[in-house]
Amino acid sequence: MAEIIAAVDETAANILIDTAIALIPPQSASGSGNLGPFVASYSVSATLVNGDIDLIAPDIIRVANLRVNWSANLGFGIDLSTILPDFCLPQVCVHIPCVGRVCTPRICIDWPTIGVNVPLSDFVEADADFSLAISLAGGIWKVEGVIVGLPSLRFGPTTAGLLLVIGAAITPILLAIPFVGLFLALAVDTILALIGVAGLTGLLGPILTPFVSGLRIPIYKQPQLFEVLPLEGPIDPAVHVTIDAIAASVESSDEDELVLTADISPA
Amino acid sequence: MSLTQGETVFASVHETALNDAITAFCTARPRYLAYGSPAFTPVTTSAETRMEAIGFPGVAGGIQWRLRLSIPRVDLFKQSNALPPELSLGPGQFSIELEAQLCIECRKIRIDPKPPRPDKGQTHGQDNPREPARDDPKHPLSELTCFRLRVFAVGHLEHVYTSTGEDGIALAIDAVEIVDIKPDDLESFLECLLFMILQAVLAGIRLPLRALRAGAFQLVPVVGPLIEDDQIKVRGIV
Amino acid sequence: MYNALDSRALGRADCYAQRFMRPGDYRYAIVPGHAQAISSDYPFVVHVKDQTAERKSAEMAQHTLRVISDGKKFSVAPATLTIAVGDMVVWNGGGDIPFAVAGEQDFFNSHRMVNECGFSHAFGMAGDYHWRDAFGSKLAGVVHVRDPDCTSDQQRRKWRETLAEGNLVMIADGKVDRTEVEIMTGQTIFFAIVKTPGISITDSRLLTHRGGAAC
Repeated sequence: MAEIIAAVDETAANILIDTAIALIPPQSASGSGNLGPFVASYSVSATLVNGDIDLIAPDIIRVANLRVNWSANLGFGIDLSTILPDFCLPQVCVHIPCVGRVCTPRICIDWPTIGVNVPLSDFVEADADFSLAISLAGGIWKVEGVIVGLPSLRFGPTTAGLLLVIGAAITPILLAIPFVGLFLALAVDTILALIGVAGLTGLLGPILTPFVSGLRIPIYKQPQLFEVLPLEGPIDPAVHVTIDAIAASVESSDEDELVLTADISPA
Repeated sequence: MSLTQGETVFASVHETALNDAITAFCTARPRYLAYGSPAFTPVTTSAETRMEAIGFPGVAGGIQWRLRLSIPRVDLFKQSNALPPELSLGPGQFSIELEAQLCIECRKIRIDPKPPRPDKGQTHGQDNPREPARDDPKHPLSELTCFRLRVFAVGHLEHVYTSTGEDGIALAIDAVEIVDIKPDDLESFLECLLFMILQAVLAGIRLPLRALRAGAFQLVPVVGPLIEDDQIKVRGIV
Repeated sequence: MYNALDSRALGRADCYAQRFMRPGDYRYAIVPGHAQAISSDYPFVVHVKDQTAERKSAEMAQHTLRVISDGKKFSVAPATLTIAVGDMVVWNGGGDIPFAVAGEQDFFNSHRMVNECGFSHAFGMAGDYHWRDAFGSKLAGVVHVRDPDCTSDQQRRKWRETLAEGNLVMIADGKVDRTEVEIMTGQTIFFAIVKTPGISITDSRLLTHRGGAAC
């Protein structure tokens, strides 16, 4: 029989894992990827919010609707010459009294490449299974939930609204380009259609997936040399025991419980 | 049936681990098991606790004494260790077995030929009030008069707060038995003396519940701590 | 794309026109537009020859030169242009960097236009453009540029047709004949300078509070 047994049911496991996940600091990533036909640089930061816990024997913690709140800065360039039709000012002639007819040449406009920076934020959800992993390294016992397999991220219905945010970011940049004003709606619609929701999820999905797939839920962490009581003055030194072994499992009886066991010995 | 039952968190510590924790405590802080008057223990250290000598008129410096207890071995219900017939281990109880060694400094007192002065309570047992109390050197054990006893006791758990303010347990003694001391009144006297001593000593050994679950999870006790199946069990909430 | 209203710095949608009334060789340089039109080297030439008898009765001829930039310097082709007395040369082009035409003689300079010359500007954005002379004369005016209603193909087509309609503003004897002009986005105004002491057509917003008079 194990010397020490500690167990929590699903209710307590939910609370503990809520807290454990909330303590995970924001994760971030930066790089570049394809946003539809455009190459975008990104910096993304994400925080996690616990979902609903289901304990499954012998060693699985299933988290349903694990939420990743993310915010990103996307920067990408758009060569407007590939978006907008060729536009040339026609020859313009005036008759100057006592001089004669003077004409400007036909002037073709070179559409520039514009740089767009867009801040975006939203969330994705995923269902993930975590198996219990026990380790002793550097004198520290750890029990962690380690993800099993690659989670599939679900983008919410608000994702389509992100395209409007991109459109709103592009519009003032376009308005500053001479002669574009008359093509503005066309430009914005074309750009957003080229990106599409698929372009957005195609860029963000691979960025956000590692935030979940790399997740390790901390369940237990204590030093092997475990302090029973601290130093309490010059005549009462600290009291320690050695944690010799740790085991973790999910036990199923009339309810499912996450069970940790430990064996100790005097230090 | 689940471990947590009607609560959401459960923790238990087997008597083996409890004894390991008590051993760790007593090894780190032996002064909780070692007491002596100034001739034996001039100052309290982590190894031993200084106590006052037993004051007696005419005994300069008082009667010097020393007590040593061994690390107690605890047996949680159900009973595994033998007990004297006078004691029985019931549900929710623990038994303890330990050794106690009591020593006394036995020395001859010099009789002062001068007429004794009325005791105004100022001499504090000194032969001559004009002379300061002698600082007697420590006597080797071979000059001491000692006896050793095997002590058995039963008791129950008390839910206490440790010196760090955490939920903890202490062992509360309900009865003590010393085997075969004659006359019976002497046995009763010594049982009472050790009953008082053990109550006090064990009340000072307070183990946090956090340690008894090796720091796993969080637990606010609702049911327990209680003793059953050779374990101390606690149930509660996060 | 540079599209500020400033004859001192010619963008893609601007033209500088200069008429040459006397025979001779007029050397010039193409310099960056905000460099006060200073140059020590004049690699290009307008060679003006006397009109032939046949030519004298013909209308003024216009010669259009396209200014090309490789990002480091400007060039025109041909480097030597031969025209007849009374002909007009129009410079346009440049790219993203605005330019100025700086001739050896004072009258031949887009930075400060003197006589028998002109400046055209196609307006790329709607708004009210208050312009004045950066060299301190009282010459000034306003151009109201309005976006067309292009919600239908027919309206879009109509707007495109208006782009070819020119608008002329004459500047002579210290006066502007049309101080207030209203056009659509994309249309062009041609400022014809008959004779002045040397002026620019510059958006007031580009000039400092001291008046922005240039050297």
